[in-house]
Amino acid sequence: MAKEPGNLSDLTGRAQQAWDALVRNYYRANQSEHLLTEPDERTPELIAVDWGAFPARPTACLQSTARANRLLDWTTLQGAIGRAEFQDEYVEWRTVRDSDGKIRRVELTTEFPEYWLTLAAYHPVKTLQLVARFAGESSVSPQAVYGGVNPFKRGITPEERRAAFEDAMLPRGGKAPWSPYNNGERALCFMCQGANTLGGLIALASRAAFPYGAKDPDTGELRRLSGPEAIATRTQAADPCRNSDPTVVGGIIGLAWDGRLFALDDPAGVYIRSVQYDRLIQPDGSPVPLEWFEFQRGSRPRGADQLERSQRLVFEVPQGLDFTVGDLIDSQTGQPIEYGGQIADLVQIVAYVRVSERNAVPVKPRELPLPDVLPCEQERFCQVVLKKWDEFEAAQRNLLASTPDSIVGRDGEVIA
Amino acid sequence: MSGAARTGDQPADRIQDGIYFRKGQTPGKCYRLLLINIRSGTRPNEARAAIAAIWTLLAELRRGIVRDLRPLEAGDPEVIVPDGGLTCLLGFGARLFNPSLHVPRLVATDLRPPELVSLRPNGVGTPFLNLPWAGEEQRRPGEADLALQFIAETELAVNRAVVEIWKLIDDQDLPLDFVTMHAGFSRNDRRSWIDFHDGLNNLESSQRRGAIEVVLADPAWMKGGTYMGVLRVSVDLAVWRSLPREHQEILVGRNKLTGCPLEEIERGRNGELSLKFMPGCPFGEPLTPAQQAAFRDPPRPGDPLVQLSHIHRSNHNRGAPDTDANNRVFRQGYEFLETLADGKPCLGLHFVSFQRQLARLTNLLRLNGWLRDVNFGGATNPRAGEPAPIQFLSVVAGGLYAVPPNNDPFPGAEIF
Repeated sequence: MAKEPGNLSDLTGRAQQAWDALVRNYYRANQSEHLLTEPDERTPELIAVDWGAFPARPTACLQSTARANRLLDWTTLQGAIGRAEFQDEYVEWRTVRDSDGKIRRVELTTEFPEYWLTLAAYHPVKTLQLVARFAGESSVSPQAVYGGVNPFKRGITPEERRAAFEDAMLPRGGKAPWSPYNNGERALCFMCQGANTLGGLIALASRAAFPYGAKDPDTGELRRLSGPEAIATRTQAADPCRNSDPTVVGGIIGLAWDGRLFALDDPAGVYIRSVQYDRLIQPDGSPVPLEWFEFQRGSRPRGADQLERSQRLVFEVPQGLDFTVGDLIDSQTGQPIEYGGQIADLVQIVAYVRVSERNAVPVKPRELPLPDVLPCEQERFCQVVLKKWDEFEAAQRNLLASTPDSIVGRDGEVIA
Repeated sequence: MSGAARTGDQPADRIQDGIYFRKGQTPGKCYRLLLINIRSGTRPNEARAAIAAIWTLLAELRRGIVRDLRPLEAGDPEVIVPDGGLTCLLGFGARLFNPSLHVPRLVATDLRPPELVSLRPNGVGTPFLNLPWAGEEQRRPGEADLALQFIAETELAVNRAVVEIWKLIDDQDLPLDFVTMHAGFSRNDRRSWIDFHDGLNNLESSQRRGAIEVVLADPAWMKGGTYMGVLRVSVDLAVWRSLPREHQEILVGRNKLTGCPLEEIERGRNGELSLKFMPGCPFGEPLTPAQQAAFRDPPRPGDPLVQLSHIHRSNHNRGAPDTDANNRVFRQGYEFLETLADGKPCLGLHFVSFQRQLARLTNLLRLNGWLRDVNFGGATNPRAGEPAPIQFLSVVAGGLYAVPPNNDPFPGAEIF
């Protein structure tokens, strides 16, 4: 039975079976002899593949981290658009601001939508309790989480609950989710960007799990393809110019190239490995302590298992202090914290892989022509990012037009 | 962001000389880093003229022209001195952009690259959590408005560059002050003071440009340039030499004599360790390019203790150098040896790295599983028989610099 991500124990009975079936189903398309559906005695060692949480694509396309930060935090009355579109590194965040716009709290999650859909299908009470907890409310209305469907209606099936929950809590047509409990207005429960799924992660690993190589133009010798090169051959279920996909693809190809057997660790998941908490400086000049970051929704390093498997991170200044997150300075840039992405930039994401020794299976290199890899800013997706940026800027201008006394900065931002 | 992997034809770069990343280039044996401040009260046009004067002088030196040896009268011979293969590189430190240190303001503050900051001078965990500053008696300045790097084949060539600049400042009363100078030399045995081969797993020439060239226009004047990190790292040889060779090899991840990568550590019944190195070694039989690559950049090991060695911690994902998650930097360091007042030698590595974002360097030193939790390498919670964590590296001086692309009359002139 596949474990729950983070070693959670939310699922019981049929829900557990459904989760196990879903995970196994994701491996059906796997044709690699290197990738196992679960770790076994042949794969005793562990390798951590890690990457930064701050999305690479918006920065590459907009040629600016500052612009990317603004776009990634773009929120309208319909919810967090920037998140639904561009937070695509297997981690998403919610930026909670005071009435004056200063950041009070930032929440990050790596929880997969498939897990929550399973939970919502079989355990509506637990689902509503969790949602309420994340929203900081004593209870939540089922209608706000399951749309117009009563999840406790006599005769309702798990499939009907799942469909209703999915309709309310996941985005439709590139927009933010309808429900305020997953569109950032009241809460952030799990990931909603289209690429951030367990199915996507397993497909990524399955398609990469071959010893792909190409003749090196300088030496004429066969060498393994890097992640970006493999993605450019269009053999992969991966996107270029992200932090996650090229790193995972390159790492997996490397394992196959070494003749290793491997499997995603059980429980399969994407976890918050670490946070560079001491980069943040308090108004008195002292570094922020790690304790201000609360790791949730997963097992912490303990005893023989020293792996961090948290899937949720909540950061805020403790009550009783007379400042907020927005008053902190990132010592790496000297800038105040104005966007959730600046907190995401402190965070390292990880996927754990169990591996065999080298040359456990014969290596049969799959030779491909060495592709040209386009610079990220020339990739097609940048047209989408730039179009969205234009929409964002237009929206800001409209906002300004309805705020006659505002002062506009160089980048079109409201200064006062 | 993920930079572009560039395997196809690409336009010529504009990266300054003094970074030996192009195929076939080898840095000279002698190194000087001259740090200079611009006097407060200097106007931007005066600063610009002063730097331009220095850059012109250096261009002449590179052609073997020394100003005091110019012909004064008809019939005087034209004296050309050996240039020693001198290269010169100009970098700007965070101080240059600090309006409180430069009245009137020299450069618009919003032209400061976001990551170009001063290393924190003191406090817990500075400049990095497990790579601390050296004691006060050893500390030297590492930050300044301007950094001039000189590399040449001869001591004379690099020293003459320093002296000729002093003459120019004196002759023309330029508004510049020497802060300090750091020296270094290369070892033709390609080893470091800890006796191991150093720099073996540096980047291949084909990968270097992607790792070092700035692709973001953030700010625009740095696009096509690079960033330099300088850490003058003192090595406490007494501590290092107290370790048995086997423990040193575990911490480094290589065989001390041959440079062969450590592949696996077998543990006997009584906890004794037996080190297995990758078969073959860099010396001896001729190696194919692919074999050389395997030694220089060995694949990720499965053995957990080998994963924690220095060479694997500092190259964690072993992926494409232009993918952010891999935090690859191009190293071009030199050794140093000085004498302290008490007669003991102060020696170490004058670490110099070039990278397209400074976060690539700082992440190496700030991320868990990378070098954050150790001073050099090894396990933080070693089992019986394994080397205990040691503290033998500290930072004597350090600074971060923006190295703009070539331009006239000098790199980065447009910001004044």
